[in-house]
Amino acid sequence: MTPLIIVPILIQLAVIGAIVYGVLVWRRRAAESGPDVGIGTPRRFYFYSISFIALMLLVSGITMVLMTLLDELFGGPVIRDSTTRLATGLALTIVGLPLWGFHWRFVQNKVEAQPSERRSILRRLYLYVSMGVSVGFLAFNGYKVIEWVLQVGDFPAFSWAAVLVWSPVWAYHWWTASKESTESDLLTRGISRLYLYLASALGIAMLASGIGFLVYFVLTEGYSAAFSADLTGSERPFGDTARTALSVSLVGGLIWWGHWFRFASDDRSSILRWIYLFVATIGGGTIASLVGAGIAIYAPLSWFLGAASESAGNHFEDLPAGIATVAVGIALWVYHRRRMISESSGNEAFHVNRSYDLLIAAIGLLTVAFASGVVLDTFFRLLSDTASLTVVTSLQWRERFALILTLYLIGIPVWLAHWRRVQLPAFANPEVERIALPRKLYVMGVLCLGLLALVGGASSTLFFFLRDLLDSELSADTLSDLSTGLAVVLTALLVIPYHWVIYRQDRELEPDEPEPVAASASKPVTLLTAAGGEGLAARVESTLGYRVTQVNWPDPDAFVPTLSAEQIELLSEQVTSAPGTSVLLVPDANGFRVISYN
Amino acid sequence: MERYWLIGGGTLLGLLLIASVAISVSRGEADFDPGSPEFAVQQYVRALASEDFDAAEALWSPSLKEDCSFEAFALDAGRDLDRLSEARITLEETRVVGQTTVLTVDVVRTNGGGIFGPSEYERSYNFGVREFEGEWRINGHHWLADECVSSHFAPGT
Repeated sequence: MTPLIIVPILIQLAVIGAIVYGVLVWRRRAAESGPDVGIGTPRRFYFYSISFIALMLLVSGITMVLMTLLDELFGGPVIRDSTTRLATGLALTIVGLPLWGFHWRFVQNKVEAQPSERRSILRRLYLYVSMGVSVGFLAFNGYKVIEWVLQVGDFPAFSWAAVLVWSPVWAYHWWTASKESTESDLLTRGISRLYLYLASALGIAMLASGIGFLVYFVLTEGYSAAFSADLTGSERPFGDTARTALSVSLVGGLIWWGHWFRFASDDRSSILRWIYLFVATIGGGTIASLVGAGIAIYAPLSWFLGAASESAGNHFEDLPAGIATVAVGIALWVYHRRRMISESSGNEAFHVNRSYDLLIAAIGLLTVAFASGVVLDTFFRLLSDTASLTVVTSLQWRERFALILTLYLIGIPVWLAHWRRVQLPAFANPEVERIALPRKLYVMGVLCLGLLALVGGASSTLFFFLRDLLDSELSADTLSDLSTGLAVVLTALLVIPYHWVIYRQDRELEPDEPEPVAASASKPVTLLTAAGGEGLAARVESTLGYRVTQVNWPDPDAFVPTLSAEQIELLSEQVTSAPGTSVLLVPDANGFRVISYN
Repeated sequence: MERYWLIGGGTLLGLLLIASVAISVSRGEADFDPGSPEFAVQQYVRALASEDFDAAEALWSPSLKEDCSFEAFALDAGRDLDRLSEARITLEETRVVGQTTVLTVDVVRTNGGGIFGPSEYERSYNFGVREFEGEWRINGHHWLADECVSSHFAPGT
């Protein structure tokens, strides 16, 4: 399996993420900002969509033309020629070039005439989706070029052409976006962050999987030499597959270094950065380490339990894979966990550390629950067929016991260690710890999953029971059919009560819910301020308890009044008591003039 | 500044297009020595691609004709033969296995171009050629009917 199997998944996730984020940002901005002063959303949508499609056609065409040229120069002797590729490439280039040139020049001229266009979400999406597609092509083809340099495979004309064409495309769009980065606001900066952290994730995934495979090849070779195991199909170190792994790690390392260490180095505390850090620490680090540890623990356990029918050399041949996975997982974990600690402080550090502990505790709990489910399922199967007891010594059952022990050996310490780190502070400082959002999400998440499992297991159990009852076929075989459902139900019943108690204890410490604002008490409130009045609007909104629309006041004498907490309280009372059904707040020397209207 | 970059890029692109067309048109297909295995395969592939089955059958070795039916081959390999038309075929490797010379060719058929790159079918095929009475003849290759494969070609071995 090639380590690059993750690339198309990441590209698809990137595209879906960009679209979802774009729509959310667009809606949010539409709600917050005033009228569109640029070329207008419909025209903008048309020009950037056509520019993007035309750019892709153009790049595709040039790639095909360049492929033809490279094949002519470096490919083998031609037995039979075909001009189809050259003709297709030329056609795409001839169509795409003027189409892109015209539309792109149009939007560039508009940007020069109206600098506010630079803040357009569609422009940002165009630039960063183009860069994202470029990085995807460069990642997928860059490693093939390096493979060829390392003397693996035939001359990759398409990969060379793709690298030569997509590199300047990426550079041009990066240069264009960089020039405009100072004019980006919080919303459009999110698009660049999405690109940066998805590219960083792609890079680290390629780097880690490439290095993991390299470590695996070296360990396998050492294992083979030491134990003379029959490793048919495995490779010598630095054979073709090892060189592919080296190529993948080189390209991944370059992408990660560029995006994480260079471009995203001064970005701090953004949600997307934290998502990246959590995914890399927990997904890439903890889960990979635990899976590797599982492989490394299972092999000796199954051996000692007598679940192996082959020689020791062959039985332990999976150990190199486990050790390599643990090594890479630990490296990922150490680096990203340190970054999490160093980049958080104060209240943020509290939430980050609690979220981290709870996520790891959740992984441990899921592992323990799964192991318990397997134990109960095994028990019911044995119970349903006493004849099975005679085969409990067979390899199949021994393998199952080794698996259960492995899962418990991993899950219990992981869950206990991290749940303890959450519970001890909760006893010491319950007012803060027990009502923290990460803890609430964890407890509710466990209860929700537990209930879903309970309902699913109960439905399955009931179905098999009723089916056999109605068919008058109730027998020991029925219990065998019920075993999985019953195991799920009992496992859920082990997990739910404990977490329900935790939930009840936490709820007792929560402050009383504020009185809901009566629907009739809320009214449309419009707050007029100069640019930068969003914070004030948020404070008024918080005090009123319902939404306030902030509109920009563009006149030269516009300003944002400075109000104390008491003044905002007073303003809220004036809004509430104003006779009109709607209220307009206009800045004046005393703060705001409250004008109500129907 | 941006204008100069775009002009520079456009000039480079123009030169690339001209060079590609010029080189592709001027180089064309390789001229193999008429007494070589490569020439025999080239003639055979050209005959199949242009559906000149008489010419193709004439290039089969006597033993291949004896054991295999050309009609069965043409029917069975119909889809693969279709792929030869409009395909660019290059010689990848030549190696000698006993009395047979095995030539590996790379067949690339471009079906068009999408917005994310070309849509191409690419596959390697092996041809076994052997010298009979001073002339190189096709003695086995892919696409032969199943009953001929084991006796006449085991590609790559």
